[in-house]
Amino acid sequence: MDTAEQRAGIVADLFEQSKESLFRYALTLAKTIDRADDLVQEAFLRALRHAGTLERMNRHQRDAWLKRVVRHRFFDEERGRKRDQAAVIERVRRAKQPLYVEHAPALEDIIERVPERYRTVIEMRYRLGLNSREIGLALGIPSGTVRSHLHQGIQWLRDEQKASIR
Amino acid sequence: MANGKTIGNVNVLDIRKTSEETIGSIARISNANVVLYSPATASYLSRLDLGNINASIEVPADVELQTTMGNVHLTPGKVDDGGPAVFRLVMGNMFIEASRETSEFLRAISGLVVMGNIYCPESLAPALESKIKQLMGNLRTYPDDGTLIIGTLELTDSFLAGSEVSQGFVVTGSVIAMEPMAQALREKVDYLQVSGRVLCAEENAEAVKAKLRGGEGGVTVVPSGYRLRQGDLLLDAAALGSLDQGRIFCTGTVRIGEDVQPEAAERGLAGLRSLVMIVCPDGLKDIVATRLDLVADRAIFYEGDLWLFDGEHTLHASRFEYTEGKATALVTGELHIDPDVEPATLATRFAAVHNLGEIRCSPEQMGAIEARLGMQEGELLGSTQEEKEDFDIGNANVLTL
Repeated sequence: MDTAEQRAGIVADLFEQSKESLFRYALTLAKTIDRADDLVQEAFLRALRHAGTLERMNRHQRDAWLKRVVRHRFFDEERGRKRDQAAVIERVRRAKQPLYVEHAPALEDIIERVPERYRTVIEMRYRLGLNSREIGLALGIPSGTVRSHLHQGIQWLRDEQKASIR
Repeated sequence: MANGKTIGNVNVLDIRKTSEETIGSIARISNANVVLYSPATASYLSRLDLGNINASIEVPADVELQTTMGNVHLTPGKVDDGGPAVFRLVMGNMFIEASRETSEFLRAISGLVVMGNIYCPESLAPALESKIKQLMGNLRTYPDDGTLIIGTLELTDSFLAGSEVSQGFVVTGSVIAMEPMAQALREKVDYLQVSGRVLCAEENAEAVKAKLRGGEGGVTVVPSGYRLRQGDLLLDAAALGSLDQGRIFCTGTVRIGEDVQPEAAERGLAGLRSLVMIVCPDGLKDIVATRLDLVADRAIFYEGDLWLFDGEHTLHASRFEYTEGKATALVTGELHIDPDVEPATLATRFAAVHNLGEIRCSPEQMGAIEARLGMQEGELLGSTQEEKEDFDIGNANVLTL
């Protein structure tokens, strides 16, 4: 494969030949037109990155390759969706569960153990009940950074908990 | 495999501040969307065993990174996430509308990586392009006066009547125009810039096509007299009983129920079209086939029970033990045939196997499947060892080493 132009040419030809059949296949899986279109677009973007491989294939193999990309992408998304749903259900289940832990450490004790760089945002979030935007405004940092520190702080606590169980 | 951790399925892997020791502890990194490195850690890339990496991007270690998992929408009144970040990484689409705030936002960021499409007003495109370090999608510019619609736009006569002036629509999804309204389309729509598909009634087709600008998706014309049905459709006896010479155009798969009597199909259906396929019991073929466009549409007439494999399935011998008679298999997803299924069972119990997805089986089973293959638009593969990797660290959105 020599140039980006040649790569684009191969994929453009493939797009013209296969877009309708690939769309129909994506629609079979995805059920909605917009999602099917997204899957097709992602498949051709991937084709652009693998144009060298596709160049060595015949028409049937290229079509099969594109379908495989669509299928794998669709199932990856489905698995991700199921994981997210399971996580939400688990969070709801835990929230409903009464806490029977004896000698549960106080919130203050837990927060005290968190490294300094995460502690402030965790305190503001869980002690004061502020959201990421409010914390960001108070500390003069973007809310995305707040969320990142929260995530990392909670992850640190989880790791600590696992280590203590071991 | 070399000693060390394996890392996989990570959206963003940040090794900008990592140490030599940490890099030395990693055996392999697979399936990372983006790897961020700094000038100081650039040399580590060649030492890592990297597989399926979409992009590796240099970002100085001291630059603050803000990552958004999902779409970003920059509107005149609202610049999301509380303001501009120094370096933005967007794992989704970016929708930008023209305004002073969005213009300032683009000026303030030092770099931008987008793993999706960007929709940007023409006036902001130069500023945007100067910030893009990596774009794994398309940059779609649109006129500043265009109305950006995220998702599907359903055009109706009353919607257009409510608009005093003609306007241009930039649609990231599909456009649906099923009510006959050719006149309103001519008068109230300046242009349509559509990334997805256009589904329109035959009465609107000419007017819609005249307004399309730089469209990428196709135009699907729903024949006059047909009702549009989006998604899959099951036409069982009850559903068909409510129709009287109905004409249906379905965007998904149409299944005709096994409880439908020939007289009900004759009375209820006058026409049936599908963008995907029509699946019908063989006993109704004589009637239903006359209602279809068999040149344009895909139809499967099946014998016995219909076994649908539309997800990830494994077919075990027990399924045959607890059912009787012939069956037709329709595979649109991935079907793995377990080695416990005898090839003779496949050959005798399947009336046909239609493969639009992927079937994996042993060489002996393959012969039996091939003998029953009807529609073959998918892959028929020999069973191989599962290639699933076990990761020490996996399924993370952002992983900083």
